[in-house]
Amino acid sequence: MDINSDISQAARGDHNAFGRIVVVHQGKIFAFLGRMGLDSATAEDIAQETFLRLWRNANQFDPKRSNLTTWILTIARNLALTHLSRPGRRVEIAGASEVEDTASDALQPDEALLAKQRRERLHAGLNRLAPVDRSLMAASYIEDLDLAAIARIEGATPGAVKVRLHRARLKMRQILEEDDG
Amino acid sequence: MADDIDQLMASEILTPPPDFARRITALVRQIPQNQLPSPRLRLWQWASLGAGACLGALRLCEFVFFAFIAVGAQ
Repeated sequence: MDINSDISQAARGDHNAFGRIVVVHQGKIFAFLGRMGLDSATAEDIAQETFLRLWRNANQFDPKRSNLTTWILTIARNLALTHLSRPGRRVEIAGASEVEDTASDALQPDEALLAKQRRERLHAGLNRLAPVDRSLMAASYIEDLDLAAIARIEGATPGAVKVRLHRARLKMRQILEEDDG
Repeated sequence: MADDIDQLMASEILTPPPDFARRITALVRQIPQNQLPSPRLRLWQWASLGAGACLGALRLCEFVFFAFIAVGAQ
């Protein structure tokens, strides 16, 4: 069924149509939040709040003016940035604890160790990037999301997003090199 | 190094818990949706409403006036 038809039905209170929207978008939201360096518990909280806000405000969505995926990702991004800017928040160190309970369950021990090291390295790098850069980097790895869509999520022009993304990658590279050195 | 960042980012994929969608769908059954506020009238709409009201009042006065004349003539 068409996703725009699902959101129209959800706006009229159809729970099943809303459930289909959650099924289609949950993977993208979790991947996005994970790539922002959030641990699985925080990502779950933010994803849940994202979908609850979508439900409450479903009647404000206008398919002529925006894309549903972009809209959902914008909500998730804003919630994640609010979380990351909170002064008392705990530092996200998902790499160490979550390798075991996610994708590397099926890996051999040496592969799991390698995956764990990769994650720790990535999280160390991400934690030193500004939250907006983390969001930008994470959005750039979402499939089917072009520069214009990323720009809408980030509230910037595609040109500005391109420049900021380049700078964020340079900074990340610098951080990773410092860590390696 | 760019490949290294790509590789690191590609490896960082959180997946939703198996029952996430079902739990969210169950949760929203208890949550009311926000209602859209009734649309506010624009200035031109207020102006045409006012003009219509004036015209209506004028026609009413005209009717009363001619009714009065007619009664007086009789």
